Amino acid sequence: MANTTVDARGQICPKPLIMTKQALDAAAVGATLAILVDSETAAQNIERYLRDNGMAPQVERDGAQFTIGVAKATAAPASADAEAYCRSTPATGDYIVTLAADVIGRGPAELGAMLMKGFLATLKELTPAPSHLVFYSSGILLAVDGSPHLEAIRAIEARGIKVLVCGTCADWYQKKAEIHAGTVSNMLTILETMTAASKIISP
Amino acid sequence: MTAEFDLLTTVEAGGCSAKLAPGRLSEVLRKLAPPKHPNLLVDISTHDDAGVYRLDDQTALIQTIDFFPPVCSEPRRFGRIAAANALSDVYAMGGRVLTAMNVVCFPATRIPLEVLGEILAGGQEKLIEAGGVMVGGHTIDDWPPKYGLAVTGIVHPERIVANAGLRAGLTMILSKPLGTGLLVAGRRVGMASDEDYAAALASMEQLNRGGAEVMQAMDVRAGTDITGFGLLGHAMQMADASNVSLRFQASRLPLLAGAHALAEAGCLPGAMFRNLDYVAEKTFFPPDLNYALKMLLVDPQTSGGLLFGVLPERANEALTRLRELGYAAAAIVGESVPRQVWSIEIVP
Repeated sequence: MANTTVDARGQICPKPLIMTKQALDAAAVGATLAILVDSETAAQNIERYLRDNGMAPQVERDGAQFTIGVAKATAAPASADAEAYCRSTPATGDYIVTLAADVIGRGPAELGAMLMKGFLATLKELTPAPSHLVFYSSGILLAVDGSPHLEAIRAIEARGIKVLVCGTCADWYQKKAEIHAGTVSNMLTILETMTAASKIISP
Repeated sequence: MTAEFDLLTTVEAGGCSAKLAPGRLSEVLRKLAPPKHPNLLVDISTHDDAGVYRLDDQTALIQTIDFFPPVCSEPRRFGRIAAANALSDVYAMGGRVLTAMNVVCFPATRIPLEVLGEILAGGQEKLIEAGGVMVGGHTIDDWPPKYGLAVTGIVHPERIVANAGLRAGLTMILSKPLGTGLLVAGRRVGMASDEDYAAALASMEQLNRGGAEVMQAMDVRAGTDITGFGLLGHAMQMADASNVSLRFQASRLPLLAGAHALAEAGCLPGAMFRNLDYVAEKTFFPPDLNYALKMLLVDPQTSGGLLFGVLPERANEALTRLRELGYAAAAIVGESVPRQVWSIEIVP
């Protein structure tokens, strides 16, 4: 059981990192912290930050939620860490997928829907998985009641991939009440997600 | 109707984060025949800031284009920052600006037209300050809005300032303070003071014109502007292109007020970690380097300053001139040394 719990779920980057730093400052050396976040990027950045500062964080993933456990060390990183800086391994799956339409491509709608079906089914299995799947514009129609793609999207979400649905778009289509996958999100969160990703896949 | 429309409500990815990922672009460009022409002096192969084409023995054209979605809320400021950023690529090559064209994407409905007027007025302000002439533009009905300039400048073909021009034994000067990425992130989470944020905006709006003039007056042949990859990312490109190494003194880096405190508080935008990964394999950091300072070295800059190498005996004069021209934070930040294992070495 951690001495302190930092609940940074729902916070925009870099707020979770700021909250982590504040909790570390307040904690005694050796005290344990549990930091809760719901963004893989935030989890990675916090883990990196803690390692860089000479601590040994443990990250646990439960669906779309991450718990980072760490014991506070003295701030001075050991000199061995200089090596670690130079050999940082790139995080797997440091990419996001955005879907801005309910079909793929500009061909016949039937073909576009078929491609979308194949795309989502493949994404469900793909390794490394993306950190986020973002729906906006008519793409949000994929995530509403009655969509033939709803099951695939839910399966993707169950892998721990964060699914964001543009709230403004849902309002525009008057479908907000019918969204039954992912999290209805705002421009700031979507922008932060895109900004933080190394790669953005937009089929 | 006043132009108090908040531009940041229109964007999902602002500034240079709206760029197509470099890897994906390379995939496409690789399939095209590389441009070859005896008059093409600087092409896309060296990651330089602009293309340079020789007209005759006295004159080479510098051509560049840059436009992006909003980076701040106020239309006029966005116009100024986008223009200063586009013009900077001419200055980074050591050139001066001749003409520019507006590149505009703006929706026919949904945003008051006055907002477009404000954006263009902001761009015009900066172009006039640059001594350039607006010769036209092109406007597409599109959402979200985007703005920038296609800029034409000139430089003497033998006085081009390029990434590959460094040699060992030069003194490195940085003309603007670091920290715009931290201040913008800090603003979003309510941790940056009005005063500090205003200073960051002012820095982004400041032209690199004076910096380019100083580079030419001091016979500088190696320089670049600091933007999205942060100081170390752009420095690494210069070091590698020139086959030298760069040594920076962390304690001498000019910083925007409030930036170090934000970094200490953990207000670190995700792009910093990506930049750190980009340079980590080729950079030596001393183990006891202050962590916040280390992160400032990779803070992504919007419309950042010029980094250039000057002969040591002319460094103080360059610095004095820069300060006279309004770059109050300009500083000597390091030196170029013969190529080592590392592209970059940080000393305390």
